[in-house]
Amino acid sequence: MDTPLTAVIGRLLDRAGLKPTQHEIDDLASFLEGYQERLQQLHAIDVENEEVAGVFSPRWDADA
Amino acid sequence: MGETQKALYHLSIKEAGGLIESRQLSPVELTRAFLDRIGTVDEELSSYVTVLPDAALEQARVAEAEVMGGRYRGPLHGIPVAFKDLFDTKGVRTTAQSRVMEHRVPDTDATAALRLREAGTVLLGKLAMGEFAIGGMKSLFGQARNPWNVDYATGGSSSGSGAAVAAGLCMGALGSDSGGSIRGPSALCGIVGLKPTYGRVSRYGVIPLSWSLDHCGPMTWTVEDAAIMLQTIAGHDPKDPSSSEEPVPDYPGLLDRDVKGLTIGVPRHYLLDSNAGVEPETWASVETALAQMEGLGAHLEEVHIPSLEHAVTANTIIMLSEGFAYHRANLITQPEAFGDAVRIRMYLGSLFSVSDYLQAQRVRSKLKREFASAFRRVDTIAGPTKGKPAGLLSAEGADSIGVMGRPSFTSPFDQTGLPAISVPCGFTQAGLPIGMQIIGKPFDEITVLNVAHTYQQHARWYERRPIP
Repeated sequence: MDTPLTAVIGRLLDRAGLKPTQHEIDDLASFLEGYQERLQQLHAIDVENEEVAGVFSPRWDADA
Repeated sequence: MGETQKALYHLSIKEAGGLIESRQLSPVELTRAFLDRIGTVDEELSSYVTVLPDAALEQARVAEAEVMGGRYRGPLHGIPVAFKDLFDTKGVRTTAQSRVMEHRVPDTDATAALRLREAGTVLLGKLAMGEFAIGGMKSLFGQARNPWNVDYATGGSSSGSGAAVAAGLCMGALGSDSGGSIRGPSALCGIVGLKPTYGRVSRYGVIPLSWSLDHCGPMTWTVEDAAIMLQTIAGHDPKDPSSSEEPVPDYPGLLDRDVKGLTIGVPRHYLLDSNAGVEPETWASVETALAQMEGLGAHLEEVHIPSLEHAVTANTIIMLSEGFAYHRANLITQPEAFGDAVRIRMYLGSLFSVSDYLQAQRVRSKLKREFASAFRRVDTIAGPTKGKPAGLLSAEGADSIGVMGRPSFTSPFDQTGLPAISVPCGFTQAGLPIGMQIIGKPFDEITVLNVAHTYQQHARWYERRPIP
């Protein structure tokens, strides 16, 4: 089924080099519609000054 | 070497190790007992994807010669084990149960596998799993079945590890856990599964699902056996950038404390939320177990973790985003090689934005802080491992991406990296196992193990076996 959301999903997957079937795009659209509220709730959390703890280290490994 | 009364495949690692050390049990005899058992039982359970009879018997012969020659290596010497099929094993096919890696034969061992090899264990084979530790039913091999009732699922993704240990098809197994994949199958199969602190056990040589969430740990019949296996696989590994240099205590040696005076936190606000879906039978078993621990001298206290309700969303975004990054090239060039469930879940991972991923990681940090605050008042936190017992195998895989939004009591501890164990705490009326989860402070596996061990020795659910 072609809807604005399925069209966007199709374009995003295409940009990533992926070739989903229309059925997969429909499933993803259906899931994301329901998931939108959860994403909004996640972004609404006040994370204050929390930083992302990366694993990057400037130290050179012994075998680098 | 002499006879024992229990069937050899029902001995614990501790029991068998003692008999091997005292030369009353032959590692060859023990390995043969397990290979015979696999031959008779596993056709129905499908817990193994690769069995290594010749190599296992050769390793057992070497172990026996060493023991008889006075070169005893320790409590795992001559003990038959098996690994989830994502731990690299030198010269042995390692597929993550995916057609993408159908012919992959590593030329090195995963660090955890190597440490077990050096401890003198006997590798019986490789175990079934959900494809790439996230997949559904359609994958390279069949799915393992629950030994308590073969019409039921084992839980995932360390499905074969759960089934094999429960059915007496190996004495201990390695599993991996990024959202609950050690603890879930352990709960549903009625065994013990320990997810150690992030960084405690090396991830080197383990096919990743999500680098920042992946943990490796032991799955065994008893808590004592989990402590023995952890002792061998824990410790710093320079090959794993997330590996911790935290000293490793003597886990089996310190397994002598009871729960008197310990405070156990229970996040009832989360566990009993109507959306959490904990079935009454499961909650009743966990409540009984908690009351028993209170009777043994522990104090129970309510703990409140505000961000817990968002943990599943954050975990899903992190796991699928990182998973997609790892699988992207193969998804582009050979999408048909992935099972339907893995492929669509990875496609979903490609659709989360960088902003979603970073917010999920920031929420993760906030969650860690909230647990740190709660742990100022309590020594451990406990609750059900899974909200319900095993489901029918025929119902598995029906909803490939819908499952990603379901409540989870296990995934918050992959995000926070806290050590968590699942220990059996009862059975449903239908005879399916129920698991209780006990969580500890970072690198405090010993408290987690002690609480679980004290409970297990008191409740003695380990005396009940699924297949005689």
